[in-house]
Amino acid sequence: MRLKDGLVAGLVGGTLWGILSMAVNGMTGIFPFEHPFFYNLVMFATGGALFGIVTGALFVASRAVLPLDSAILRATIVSVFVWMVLRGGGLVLSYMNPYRYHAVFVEALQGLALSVFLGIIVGMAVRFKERSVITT
Amino acid sequence: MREEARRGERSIYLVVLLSVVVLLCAFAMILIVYGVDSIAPGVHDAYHDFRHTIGMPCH
Repeated sequence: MRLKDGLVAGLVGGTLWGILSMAVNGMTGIFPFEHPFFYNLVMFATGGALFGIVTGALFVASRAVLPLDSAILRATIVSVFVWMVLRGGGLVLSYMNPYRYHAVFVEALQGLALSVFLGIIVGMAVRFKERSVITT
Repeated sequence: MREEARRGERSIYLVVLLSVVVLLCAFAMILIVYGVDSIAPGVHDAYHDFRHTIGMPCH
């Protein structure tokens, strides 16, 4: 898969994932939202798009490291890896400055589950993109 | 022959451009995740709910 296709799949999948994350948190109520709905919709969509683009790019780059046939499995491994790296950095910051960075376990569990969702959505977007390239 | 070389050159430029885009996105993602107001003022508040939802440490 070309880098451009991976980025497009990541952008689309990530934007959907951002909106899905907002819906999931709205249902679980793990973190009560502090901003209005439409404001959050834009922020979750843009934040999700950035996560999706990075995941899509790493997905394309990970082909040599992760020779798996399943795009969904590979994208899930990549997105969970990205989340864990970021979360690890957050824990280091939390250790250095506990007043500024509080780590909440339940939110972390939700984040981990959402990172799995991101992988599934980006993987599905990649499969859709590959099929559309094959058929055209 | 020349056309092929031009096409190859264009695709190299495209890969470089896309790589820069990815790096910028990764940088923006880090700013959002850690709410680095010192580099991007207001980013902490703007993405506060998003940060908590995806389980990143915040105050």
